[in-house]
Amino acid sequence: MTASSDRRLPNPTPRPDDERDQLERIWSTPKGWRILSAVNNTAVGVAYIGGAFLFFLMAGVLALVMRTQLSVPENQFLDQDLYNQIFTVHGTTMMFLFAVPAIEALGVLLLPQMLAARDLPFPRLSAFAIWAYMIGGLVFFSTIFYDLAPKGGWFMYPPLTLTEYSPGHNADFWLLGIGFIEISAIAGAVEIVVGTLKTRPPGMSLARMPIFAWSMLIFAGMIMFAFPAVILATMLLEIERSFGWPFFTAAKGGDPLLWQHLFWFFGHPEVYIIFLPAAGLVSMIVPTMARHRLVGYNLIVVALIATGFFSFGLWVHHMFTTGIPALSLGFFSAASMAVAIPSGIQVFSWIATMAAARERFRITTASLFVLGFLFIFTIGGLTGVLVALVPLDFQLHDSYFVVAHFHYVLVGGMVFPLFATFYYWITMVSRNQLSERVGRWVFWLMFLGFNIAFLPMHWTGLSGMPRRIWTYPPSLGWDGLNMISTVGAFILAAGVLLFVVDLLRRFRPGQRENENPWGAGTLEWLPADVYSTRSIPRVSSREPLWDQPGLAEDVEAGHYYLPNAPTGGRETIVTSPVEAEPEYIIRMPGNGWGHVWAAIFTAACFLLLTVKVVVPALICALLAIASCIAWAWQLDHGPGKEPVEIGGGIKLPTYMSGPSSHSWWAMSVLILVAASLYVAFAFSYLYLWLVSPQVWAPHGSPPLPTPSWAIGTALLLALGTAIIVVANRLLPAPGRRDIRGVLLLFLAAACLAAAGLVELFVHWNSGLRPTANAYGAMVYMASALNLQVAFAVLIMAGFTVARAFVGRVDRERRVTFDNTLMLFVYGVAQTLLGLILVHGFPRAVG
Amino acid sequence: MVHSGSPGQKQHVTSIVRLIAYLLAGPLIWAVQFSIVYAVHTLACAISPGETAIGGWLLLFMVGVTAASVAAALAILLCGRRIRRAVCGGSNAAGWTAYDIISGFLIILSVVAMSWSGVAIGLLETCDQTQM
Repeated sequence: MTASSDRRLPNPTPRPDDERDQLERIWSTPKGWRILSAVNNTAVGVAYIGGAFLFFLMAGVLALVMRTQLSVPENQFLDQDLYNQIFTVHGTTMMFLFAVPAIEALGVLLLPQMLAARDLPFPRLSAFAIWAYMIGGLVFFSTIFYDLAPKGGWFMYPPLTLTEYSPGHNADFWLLGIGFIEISAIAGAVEIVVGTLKTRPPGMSLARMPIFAWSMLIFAGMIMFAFPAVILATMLLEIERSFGWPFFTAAKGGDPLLWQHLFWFFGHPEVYIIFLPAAGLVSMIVPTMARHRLVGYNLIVVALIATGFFSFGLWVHHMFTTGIPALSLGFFSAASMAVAIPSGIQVFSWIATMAAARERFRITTASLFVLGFLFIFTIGGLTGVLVALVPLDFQLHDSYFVVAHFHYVLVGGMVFPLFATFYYWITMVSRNQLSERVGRWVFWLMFLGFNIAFLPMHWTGLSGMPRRIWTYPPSLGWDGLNMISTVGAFILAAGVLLFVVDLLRRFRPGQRENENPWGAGTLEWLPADVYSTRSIPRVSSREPLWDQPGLAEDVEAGHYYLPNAPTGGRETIVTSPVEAEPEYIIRMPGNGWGHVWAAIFTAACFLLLTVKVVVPALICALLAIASCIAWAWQLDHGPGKEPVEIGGGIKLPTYMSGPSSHSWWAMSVLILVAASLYVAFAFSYLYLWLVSPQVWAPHGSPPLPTPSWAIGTALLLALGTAIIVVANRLLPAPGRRDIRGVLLLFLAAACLAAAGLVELFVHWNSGLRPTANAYGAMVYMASALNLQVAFAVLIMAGFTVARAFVGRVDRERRVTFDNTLMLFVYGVAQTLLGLILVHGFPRAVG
Repeated sequence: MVHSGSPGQKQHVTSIVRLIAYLLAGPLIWAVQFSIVYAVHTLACAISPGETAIGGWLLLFMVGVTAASVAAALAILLCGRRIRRAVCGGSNAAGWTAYDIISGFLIILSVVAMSWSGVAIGLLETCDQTQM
C-alpha cells in the first residue's frame, strides 16, 4: 500500500501521462507580441507589478529633483510652477499609480497561488485593469514633460483647482486621468473579493485562510466603499470645471470643504488600503523566518478588520483646522487614537512570533526589510498619534512634520514590506533568487537613507517649514536640516538603484528550481506551473505544507482534486464562501484581445475628454463599449457539459447561475460600489443643505415641480418592475428560442431610463438650471447619476436581447439576464432614493 | 448540467452574510453610534450657529446613544456564542471558535472606541469652534 492511499487521497491512482501536457497547452502563455493578449495571473501579475514599480522609480526621480531644489536656500534649480507640478505628480503617482496598483498586482499574482486556484475568476478583468492603468498612468505621468501636469497637490483642493485659479487642462488630467485609474482599481477589487471568497481550495474555511488573503479581502472591501467617494468628488469637480455647475463655489451655495470631506473619506482609508495588505505580507514572512506559527492569528484578523473599519471614522483628522466644532474634532481625534490599538496588536503579534521561534529568527534580506518596516512604521504610528491630538495638529498642520509622518507610515508601512516581498517571493516568477549579499547592501542603504532623509524633517517642521514651498530664505535655520534630508534621499535612491541592477542581472522569467526555498507552510510554495498547481489540495490547517506530510508530492502527482481539464478549457473549482466546500467548476476565458481594446479605447475616451476633443472621445467610448460586448460575448458558456468528476467521488456541475455563481457575486460587489457612490452623493446633497439650511432652495429658485411628477416617475419605475417580473417568467425552456422575455427586459430598462429623463425634463421645465446655484447643480447631478445606471442597464438589456436572438439565453442559461435584472433593481432603488431626496427632502425641511 | 438559485445556494449566500454580520457586530454598532452622534451634533450646531451650549437635550441624546451602543455591544459579547448559533448555526469546532474570538475582540475594541469618543461629549463644549 502506498503512502498516498494511506492518506485517502481523492485521486489515489497514477494519472494518465498526457494530462500534464493538456494542462500546459490549455494554460500556455502566448509568445512574442501576442503576450499582450495573455490573461494568466502570473503573466498579468508580473506585468502589473512591473508597471507599478516603474511608476515608483519615476516618482522617486521626481522626489530627488525636489530634494535637490530644497538642498540649499534660494535655489534656482527649479522654478515655482514646475516645482508645483513635480510635487503634485510625485504624490499622485506614489499614491494612485504605485501603491494601490502594486498591492492589487500582488493580489493578482499571489492570491491564486496561496489559494491553490488555477487563476482568479475573472482573468480578463484583471488584464483589462492593468492595461487601462498602464495607458492612463503613462499618459498622466508624461504631462510633467509638457507643462500640462496638475499643480494642486495630490489632494487637489478647490478653490485652487477651480477653473478661475487653475485654467488650462492641467487639473483635468488629474481629475479624468485619476478618476479613470480608480475604475481600474475597482475592477481589481471585484476580482479579489470574488476570488478570495469563492476560489479557495476545499477545506480552507475562512478561519484557515492565509493572513494575506484576509488582508486582501479587507483591502478590496475598503476600496469598494472608499473609492466611490473620490470618484464622485472628481466627477463633481470636473463637471464644475467643464460646465460651471457650482458644487464647490461658495458664492453660489457650494462649499470647497465638500471636496475635503469626500476626498478624505477616501484618502484616509487609502492609507490603510495600502498598509493592511503590506501588513498581510509581513504576517506571511515572519512565521516562515521564525519557523513558528503566527502568534495570535485570530487577533491579527481582528486587527485587520478593526483597522479597516475604524479607518472610515478618521477622515476629519485631515481637516482639524477647517473650523469644525470642537466636539466633532473630539470624536475624530478619539477615533484616530483608537485605530492605533489594532495596529499595535499586529506589531506585538509579529514580535511575539519572532520571540516564540524555537530556533533563532532567520536574518535574510526579506527579514531585514521586515525589521526595518517594524522600526519605521512604529515611529510613523507614534507621530500619527501626535498629529491626532487636535492642539498639536494645529501647530503641525501642513508643516514638514506631517511630511515626515506620512512618509514614515507609507514608506515604512508599504515600501519596506514590498521589498521584503520581492526578496521572499521572487522565485515564484524568476528562475533565480536575488542576491542576498547585494540585498543586505540594498537594505542598509535604503534604511539609513530613509531615516537620514526623513527623520530631520520632524525638526524642520517643528521649526516652522511649511510643506510645498519651492524654496526658502537662508536665515530660518532650515538649511542644514534640508541638506541632510537631501543627502539621505540620494542614499535611499542608491539603495533602490542597487536593487534595480541586481533585479536586471538576476531576474529570469520562469519557474523556480527549489520549490520551497524558505520552508514555508502555505500553498503558494507548492510545485506549480503555468496552470498553477497540478491538482487542487484539500486543506486541513493554516499551514498545510507544515501539517500535511507529502502534500507537495501528492499535489504534483495529481492525487488531489481536478488534476486534469475535464471541460477541455481553463477551469478551477468554486467553493462555498465560509466552509470552502466544492460547488461547481468555473470555466474561465483564455487569452484574448477584447479586453485589451476595451482598455485602449476607454483610456483614449477619458484622455480625449480631458483635452475637450469631444467627438473623437465619443467615438472611442462607442468602440470601448463594442469591445466590452465582444469580450463578454464569449463568456457565459451555458450548461452544455455534463457534471465532471474532480476526484474523491465528487461530481460538480460546470455551469452555475443564481446566488452561487461567481458572476452573481461580482455583480453584487459592483452594485455595492454603485450604492457607495450614491450614498456619497446623498451625503454631498445633505452637506450642502447643511452649509446653508436657511436657503435651500435658494431665494429666487423656481418652485419644486408638483408632487404628481415625482409620483408619476415612481409609477414608471413600478411599471418597469412589474414588466421585469413578467419577463422573468417568459424566459424559454432550454433549447428553445423565444425573445419575448428579454424584449420585456429591454422595455423595463427603457422605463428606468424614461424615469430619469422625466426627472430631467420636469426640473428643466420648472426653470431650474444646474449652473444657477449649488442646489440646482445637485438636483441635476441626482438625475445624471440615475441616468448613468439606466444607460448601463439599457446596454446590458440590449446585449441580453442579442444573445437571446441567437438562442443563448433561456431559463437555465440566464447569467446575462440575471446580471441585467440585478442592476435594474438597483437602478430602481437608487432612482427612488433620488426622488425622495430631491422632491421629498426640501418639502420636509422647508 | 446547471444549478440555478437552489435553496442550498441561497443558504450559502445567507451563511456568509450572517457570518459577516456576526463578525462585524461590534464595528457596525460603533459605525451606527459614530454616524448618529456626528450627524445629529453637526446638524444641531448648523441649525443653531454660534450657540456655545445648544441645550441639555442634545447632550442627553448623545450620551444616551453612546450608552445604548455600548450596552448593545456588551450584550452581544456576553451572549456571543448563543447569538452566533442562532444567527449563523455552526458548531463549537475550531473554526467557529475562531469566529467567536474574532467577533468578541472586535466588540471589545469597538466598546473602547465608543467609550473613548464618548468622553469627548462630557468634556467639550457642544458647538464651540476651536481657535487657532
